[in-house]
Amino acid sequence: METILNYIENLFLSYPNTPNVRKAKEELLALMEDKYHELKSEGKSENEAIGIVISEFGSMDEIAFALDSDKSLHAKPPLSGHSQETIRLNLKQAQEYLDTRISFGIKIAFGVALCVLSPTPAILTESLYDGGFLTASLSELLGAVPLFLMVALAVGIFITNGIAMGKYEDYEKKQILLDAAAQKKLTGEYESWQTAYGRRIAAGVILCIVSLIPILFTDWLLKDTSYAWLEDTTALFLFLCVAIAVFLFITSGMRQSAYETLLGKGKAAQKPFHSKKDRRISLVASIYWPIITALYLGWSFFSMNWGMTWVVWPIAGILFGGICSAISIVSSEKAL
Amino acid sequence: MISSDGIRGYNDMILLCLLLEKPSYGYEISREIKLRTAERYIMKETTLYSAFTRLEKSGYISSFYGSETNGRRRTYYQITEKGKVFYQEKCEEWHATKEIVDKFMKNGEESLWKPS
Repeated sequence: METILNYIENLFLSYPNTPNVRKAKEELLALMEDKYHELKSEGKSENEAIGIVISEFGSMDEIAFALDSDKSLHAKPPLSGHSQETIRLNLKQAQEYLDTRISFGIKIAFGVALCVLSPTPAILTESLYDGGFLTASLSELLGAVPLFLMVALAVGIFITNGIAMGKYEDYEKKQILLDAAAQKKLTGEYESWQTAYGRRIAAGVILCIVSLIPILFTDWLLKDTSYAWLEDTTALFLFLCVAIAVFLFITSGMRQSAYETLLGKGKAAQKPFHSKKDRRISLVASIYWPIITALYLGWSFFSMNWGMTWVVWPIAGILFGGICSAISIVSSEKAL
Repeated sequence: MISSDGIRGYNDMILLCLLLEKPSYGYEISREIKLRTAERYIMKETTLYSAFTRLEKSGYISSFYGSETNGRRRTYYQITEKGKVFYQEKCEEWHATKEIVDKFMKNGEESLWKPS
């Protein structure tokens, strides 16, 4: 099987990764695989089957016209390797890029989730203060320190990862040519990922909606109760939901765009120069979150209305998602 | 085995004839040709693919994705109305041609020139 894949791959080495060429490659491969399986089921040995399949393949001259519309592009000689516009990747390299992008997405998402969750220790300590377990100053200190630490950690993550992704800038600028094995495996993965992608986005949206339910519920139904801990719990629930939702949006969005870059699908296909998108997002995040923190603290200390000011965080979290999308759109428009 | 050069002009007709029976996909067609000719004609993969592409470009056949089998969607081909008309015309042309060419083709001993 591997032999057949490599055979096709070598024959197509000098052709660009255009729709016509991809189609020819896929169809020929399907024909060969079907024949191979039939020969095997007739009791032929692996080598015999491969031998027959390859001997009956025919000549590339015959299908030249089917690839003809791409002629202008494949003027370069075979095995020329790197041209200015294309990067050739084998399965291992493509997988490595995909893994890096996925883990980059997880780290950024983790950083954003940290920012969203950063006021939660303050809510907890305030709750303890309300309960009479802590003094006012101690509760403020125990709330503020984790907040700063979490935001600082997040900013650190944004900056270091933005730099680390720099080496893949080329991948998004240039056209990527995958070899047959990588094309086949990743196309399969991409297709099965689509379902999971849809589910995760839907789950995130549902979480955002659900996050508000307990707050509305307690506000409406328990207006007169003085259960401060109940309000704190609903606030914690909201932060947690938003943090998970934001995490889902960012990780699945990054993974999706990594597939699109590799396979030349979707938006990535039309904007070969969305290059610095990831780094722009890190850059914006590293400025955005400290500003939000400053805003939060400024407003809180000024108004001393700590029970109210935390709304900054979920709003900022959702707004950040919007900013990420806006950056993507702007980067793609610049490219056009 | 028949030389592929001799039969080249008729590949399109073979495919159209088989697609006239039912929509089908690449390997099924290839197997059918091998079976019906008792392995005397095996169409090469590239020949098959180029014929499909050409016929589709001319609008004689159209392709669609079949249901998923073994994790892959097969491309199926079916003959179009235009294809059916074309096939009919070509069949008539073939019979006329055959009749004429036959007059000049002798087989076996007959082909030996005998002075009369």
